[in-house]
Amino acid sequence: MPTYHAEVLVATRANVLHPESKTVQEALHGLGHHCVKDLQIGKHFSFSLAARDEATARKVIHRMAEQLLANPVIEDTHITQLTLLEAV
Amino acid sequence: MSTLKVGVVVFPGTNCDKDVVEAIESSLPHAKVVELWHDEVPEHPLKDDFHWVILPGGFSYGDYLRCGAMAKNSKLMQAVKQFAQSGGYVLGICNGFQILTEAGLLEGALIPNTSKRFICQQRTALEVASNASPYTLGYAKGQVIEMPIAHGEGCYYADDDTLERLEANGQVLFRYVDDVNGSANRIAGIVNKEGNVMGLMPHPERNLWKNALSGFTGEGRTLFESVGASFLVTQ
Repeated sequence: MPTYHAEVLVATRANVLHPESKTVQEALHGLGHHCVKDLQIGKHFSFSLAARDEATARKVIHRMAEQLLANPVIEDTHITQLTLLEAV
Repeated sequence: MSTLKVGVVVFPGTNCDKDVVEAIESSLPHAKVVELWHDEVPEHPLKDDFHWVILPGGFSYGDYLRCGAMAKNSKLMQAVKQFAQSGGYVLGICNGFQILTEAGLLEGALIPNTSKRFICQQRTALEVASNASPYTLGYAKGQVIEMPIAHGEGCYYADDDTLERLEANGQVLFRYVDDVNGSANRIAGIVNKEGNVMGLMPHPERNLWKNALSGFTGEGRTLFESVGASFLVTQ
């Protein structure tokens, strides 16, 4: 079965307050970087997985996000990278 | 007199289990309490052995990933879900409330306090928003009581439709009198629409005895007594 490398980002949805993100953005403003807006801190998951094909890999990752990696009430999941490591 | 059988769930990192056991034993003389370890699969469905299951406060699994995220997938929680779905009483206090929302047994989520700080207060004023519940029937509607709070992620969040529904159904049982953590509608405790699953961030088990010197009012005891009274009525 092919092996894929996945990079997954889970971040608090933009309309849900995330005090840590807000604090970091305010600190950047304090350093003079007033250009920064909409800062969101997220969790980054990096792993490899065996899957029949890319579509299956994506489906499995979203299922894992729903079950554990993310809280769908407040967070969104983005697969930022999915690359084929080994074809067989 | 029938015995009210209570199970107190213990995860690695739970730290309020002994307080909850003491709360039950001291306020409900007709109750029998058993502690349940998270990793043990009960031989029978929980409903065969228990009337009420409590998820106490603490930091289950070190709050890894998100508060309650690891606990919701534990073996025992699968049995607790079945128990709740079959109508058993389930109460989650503090981390227990976080676990219940993560598990989907209660709506919404508990997110970091807007103050960005862990809040620890001995006396936090709460308003009883509804006493039409087995958990609050011993209080008067609108009564202001005190319970300690201690949490970093106690800000109750739900989308507008959910909040509207919770309010319309009378599912909000306790509200903070002051905005302590940014919770939507100052929500401190809710119940599911069936009325058997309750979650609250404050700690009733830490306010069991009135004590003029320490300032404790003993008003947390009423919550445990309410469930006990409700149980006796239904037997």
